[in-house]
Amino acid sequence: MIKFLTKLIRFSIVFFFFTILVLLISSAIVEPKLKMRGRGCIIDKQKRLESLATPKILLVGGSNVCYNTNSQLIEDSFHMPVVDMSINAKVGMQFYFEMVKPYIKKNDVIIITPEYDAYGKINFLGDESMYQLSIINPYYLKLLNAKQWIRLPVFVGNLLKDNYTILTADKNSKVSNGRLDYNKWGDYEGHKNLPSLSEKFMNNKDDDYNLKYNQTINDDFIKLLIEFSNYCKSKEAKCLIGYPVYAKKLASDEYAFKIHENLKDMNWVDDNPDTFLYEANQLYDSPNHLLFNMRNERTVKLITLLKNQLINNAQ
Amino acid sequence: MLFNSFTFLVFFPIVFLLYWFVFNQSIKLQNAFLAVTGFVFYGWWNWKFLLLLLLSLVTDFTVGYLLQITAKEAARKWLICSSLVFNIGLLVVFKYYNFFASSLQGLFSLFGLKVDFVTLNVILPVGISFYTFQSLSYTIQVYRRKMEATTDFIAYAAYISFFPQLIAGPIEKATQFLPKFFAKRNFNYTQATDGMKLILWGYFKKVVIADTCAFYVNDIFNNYTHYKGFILFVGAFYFAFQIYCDFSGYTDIARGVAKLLGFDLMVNFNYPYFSKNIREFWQRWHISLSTWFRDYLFIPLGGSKISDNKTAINILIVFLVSGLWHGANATFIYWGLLHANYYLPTIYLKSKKQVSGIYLYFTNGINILGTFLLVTIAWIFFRANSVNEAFSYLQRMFYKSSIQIPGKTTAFLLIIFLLLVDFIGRNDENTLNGFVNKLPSVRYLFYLILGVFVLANFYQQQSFIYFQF
Repeated sequence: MIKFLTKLIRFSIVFFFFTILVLLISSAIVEPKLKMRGRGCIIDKQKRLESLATPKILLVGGSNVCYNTNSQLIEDSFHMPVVDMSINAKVGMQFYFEMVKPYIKKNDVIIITPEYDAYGKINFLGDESMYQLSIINPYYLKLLNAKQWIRLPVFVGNLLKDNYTILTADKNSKVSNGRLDYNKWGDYEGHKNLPSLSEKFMNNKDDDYNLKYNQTINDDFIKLLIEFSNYCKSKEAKCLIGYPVYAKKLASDEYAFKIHENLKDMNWVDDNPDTFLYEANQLYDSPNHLLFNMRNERTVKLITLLKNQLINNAQ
Repeated sequence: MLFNSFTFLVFFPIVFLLYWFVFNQSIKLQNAFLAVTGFVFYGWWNWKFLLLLLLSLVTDFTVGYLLQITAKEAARKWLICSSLVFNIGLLVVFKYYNFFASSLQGLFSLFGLKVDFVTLNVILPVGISFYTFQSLSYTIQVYRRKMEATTDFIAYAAYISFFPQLIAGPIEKATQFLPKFFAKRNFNYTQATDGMKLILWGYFKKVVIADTCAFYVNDIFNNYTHYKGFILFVGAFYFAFQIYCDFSGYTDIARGVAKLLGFDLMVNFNYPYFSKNIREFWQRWHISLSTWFRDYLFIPLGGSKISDNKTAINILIVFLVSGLWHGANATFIYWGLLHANYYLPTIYLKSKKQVSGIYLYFTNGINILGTFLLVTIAWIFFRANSVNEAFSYLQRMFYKSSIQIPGKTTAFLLIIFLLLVDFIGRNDENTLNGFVNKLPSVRYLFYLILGVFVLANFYQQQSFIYFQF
């Protein structure tokens, strides 16, 4: 038994290092291709974030932000530069916060819009999407906390598979959701002229998207949001939190109010969760994503609410 | 609990360590622990069906005991019938009732009669066909006086609920497997390393090859009306390897896990796609089920020691039942009957012609290819959602089309790799052993590469096809 366990442990250690080696080599090979895929937009967002003068507006959240926002409209309305830092909810809010923290300065405005799923279903520590960002820019490894490092082995398989998929992808096929689909503010525009695919999620037989009152809310995530809000306060920046866009039929006001109750000490863009609920035919490929031609309407609503919060309240 | 889930990756090391380091003081303790782990493993899917497993356990244990103490033949017959009725009754209620009800309804409607049967809204308990057959094997063997009934309920519970093979076999015969629960188990290094190799190769077959093929198979079969010709051939070809890798992969993992607990499970697959005829195929594919049907159905019906015509009828019955065993769908019956039709000529045509040298390789090659083609055609019925769909798929296969492999060639390359490893390792019941013995200098690198492939594909966590049976 001892001989077996010793050999098993020895093999596991060798396997661990071999896997890391394969991951590093494959990551180095896929890096140029990865930079041109969707996650590659982080390079441009980071550059913009670094270059903007203060005061500025930072938009932080999952894909609901970059799909549903016209940052240019916000910039023109407030005469403040805007950067949309969002990519995907699965990157995890912890990472987004760590990414923007060094750039938050006095009088900046940070608008956080986590997806409803970010409060419970999706882990705020991120999945392989977040580790992929570190392949694009190893600097992001510095932003990972101990828990995120501990979680890394769980996603090694996915990272290897993704590397393999990218390596073997057809050179001639167009990359959907690529880096070039993001505009200079960081908003996603790849769904321009695309029709609604709402049937897929509205009729989802596993009932994945139907929000319910009894859906769990992760206390640690609530703590993280409050901590970030306090951090912004300490920097004399204004932090606001908002409800995300969602399909009207799948939403739950009770659940939204439960979230609000947990975060009642934070500044809200709007107390009414119904403001950003939309009909299925106004949505693109998920209950969180509007059709491209709807994003201006949503942005105008957001601007009105922000004016109320930022200008009127200041007076 | 799925073997290809993170839960199992946590569950099994805990079981392994407790089994050898905490419960190793007595066989009774180890058996009790195995029974409990079996229940946890099964209950993880749906704890409510544990009651069904327990009911089956208690019933057949009691029947076995009563058979042992009853001398009168008439009473013994009643007892074995009660066990048969109970076990087959379970299958009928949970697996076949709705199928028979709707089939009868259809039949009556042909004659203009409208009959409404009450259909039951029941979920099929996972692995029910496997554990009821294993349980039945015990009562039948006791009835035949091939073994003595056990009075140790814990050992019996451990035998039935032995988690590596509880859900998808191999279906072990009580005479061979139950005695192992009364023998002292000592950890054996060679057995354990053999087990690890089986597990690694099993995972590779399941999560890398089967799940990769599944991606294309699902697309082609679900949208077969959009395809024609060669691509549908490819779909059937991929499915042949998907089901082989899925099921034999499961069996390899089960055998490997069992070895790590000190048990040897029977070989369930013996390189079936290298069979030279259908008879040989059935001696190599799902061996535990084939031998179960041979011992408890084919031989009692008269076996092959009767006239060719009667043997042919018995073969037909066995394949019909085998098809039905797989599921309550006409597609499985057609699949079974198709195999029966393939098999029947082997009863009547007994070739005595011997060939040798280059002709032997040539004829073997042709026979292997021919057998594989026949088996693949039958798989279309197995995979299709309805018999009409299967026929339509077959018809469209022969439409003129260009030759192209769908998507990437990954699945195709993986199949070539599988065949290569299987071919080189075919003389060993542990493929990986047979393969690495030919290439000892690179075996560690080979294990590492297989491991990385498994890790990269592990997240897919697709269920095993045979769980539904």
